[in-house]
Amino acid sequence: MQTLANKQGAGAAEGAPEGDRTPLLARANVYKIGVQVAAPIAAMFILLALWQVIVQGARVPNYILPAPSAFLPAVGRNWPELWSATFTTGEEAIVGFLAAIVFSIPLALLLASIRVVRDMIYPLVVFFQVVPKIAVAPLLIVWFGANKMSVIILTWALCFFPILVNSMTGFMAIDEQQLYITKSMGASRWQTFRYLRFQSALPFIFAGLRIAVVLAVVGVIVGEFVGSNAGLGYIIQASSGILNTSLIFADLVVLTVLGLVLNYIVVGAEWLLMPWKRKVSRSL
Amino acid sequence: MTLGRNTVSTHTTDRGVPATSKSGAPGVGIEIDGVSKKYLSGSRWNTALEPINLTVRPGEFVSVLGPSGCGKSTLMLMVAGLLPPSAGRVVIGGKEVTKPVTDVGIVFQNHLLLEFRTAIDNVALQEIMRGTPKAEARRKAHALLDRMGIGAAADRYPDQLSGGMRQRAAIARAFIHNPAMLLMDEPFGALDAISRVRMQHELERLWLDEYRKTVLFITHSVEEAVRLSDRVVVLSSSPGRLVEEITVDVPRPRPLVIDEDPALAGYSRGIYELFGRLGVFGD
Repeated sequence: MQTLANKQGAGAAEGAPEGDRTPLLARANVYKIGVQVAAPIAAMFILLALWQVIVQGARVPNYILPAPSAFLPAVGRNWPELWSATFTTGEEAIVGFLAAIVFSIPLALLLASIRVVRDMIYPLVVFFQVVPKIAVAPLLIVWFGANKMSVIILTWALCFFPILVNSMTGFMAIDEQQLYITKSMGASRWQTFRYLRFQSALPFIFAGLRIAVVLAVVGVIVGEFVGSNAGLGYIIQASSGILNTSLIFADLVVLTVLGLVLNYIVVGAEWLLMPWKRKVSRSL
Repeated sequence: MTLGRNTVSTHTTDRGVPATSKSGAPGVGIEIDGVSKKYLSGSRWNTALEPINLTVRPGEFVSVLGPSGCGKSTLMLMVAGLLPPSAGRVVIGGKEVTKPVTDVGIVFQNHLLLEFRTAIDNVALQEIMRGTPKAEARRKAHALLDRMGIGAAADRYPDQLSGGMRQRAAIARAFIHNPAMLLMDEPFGALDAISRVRMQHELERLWLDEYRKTVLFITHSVEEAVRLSDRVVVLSSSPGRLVEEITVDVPRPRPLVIDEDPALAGYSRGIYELFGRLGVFGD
């Protein structure tokens, strides 16, 4: 429909890219997407096959490095345990990550909008950003006990700064000329935020969220290492004590999938909230 | 006079007496009264613009023409209330400008459309900011984009538009709210020569048919200034100084290319000779 409309109308305007909105699932696109999905999967299989061959050929003991044939079935064997651990870990990661968003984005807006506040607080922000948060983990156990709370707070602390710093950059990165236009429209402070600042900052905010979501998984695992009796990190900790290396690798498989899922949730939110950045193949 | 064109407005050659049009009142007068601009560069004050006196009558189309560095963009920002003058004052419609003027439409060389809004939503934003309900603002914006020949591209993001289409959308945004004046700073400066001529033609037609109000148009193109204006104000550069005002007494609509009209071509030649005398082209 769009293509038709283009031909009738905008074709009259010079330099109009003719019919540049091909339907998303045109045949050529299906092929492209197929290749994009299939290629990395194929590469993964080749890697696993090589791994299998090398481990078997060199007779590496199972407790040092298990072959895929050893640890992949371990995922199935330990499924109930891993599945409930995934819930625990996933919940802690998501709660810590969301809490970081709730605190960091409004603070970023405050720092970006008010000069005095920025001058006062930003040096402190830099200071706390430099403190290695993971080193504080044992202290959190002392303060909050060996429980979910400690894990979530550690995750929160790791996610907080990348979101804060990126969002602040985003809220401040506005073209002066762009503001000329909104000022001439008589825009209020709120309107300027709602129609200009917020969307201008979104790409920066999401850059921060992408960094933070990876750190969220790191934070949860370290938190569980230090003081927890549940979750995927705890299973790794417990398995390493009894040299159950296959279970560690099975756990890593699940953990990687969890990390990917969380990452794609952020990517999905980005796709939803920034329709203007969607890349529709236009050169067919 | 209208050369058989189907228009609502009544055109007139008598400059200074604006024709009536759909847009009602002929806009506001602009008085630029001894306005100058200096800025601090390191520890030295540089003069961007020497004191300028200029009066633009309601409904008049005035171009400010000059080489780069003559402070013409600075002048426009001061008229818009976006930059305070170092001395002098700007009076618009009888009121001194002290804060950003809002009864205005502004177009810059850089289209400055918001990348995250579609063409129609960019145009509608002008109305939404002024309190028009979203649905009505969008309806108005669509009608306007249709008239400007880019209705079919209304739902595209600026990234997906050609240069000419972006500039059309920017112009639509500048006058959808029927402001009392239009300020345009090199609006076609980033376009290729052919699009440029075409856009000049469309702007004149739009101005004659839809929006017959005060326009202050900044350009460095002699042809563009002569082609579009009732009056051309020539500035010299470094520092900017007003050297001449030329009234272009040629009826509208004017031909696509100024060479077609000996009178227009004569004005253009005259301005080039003036630039020659000012040493704009070197020795």
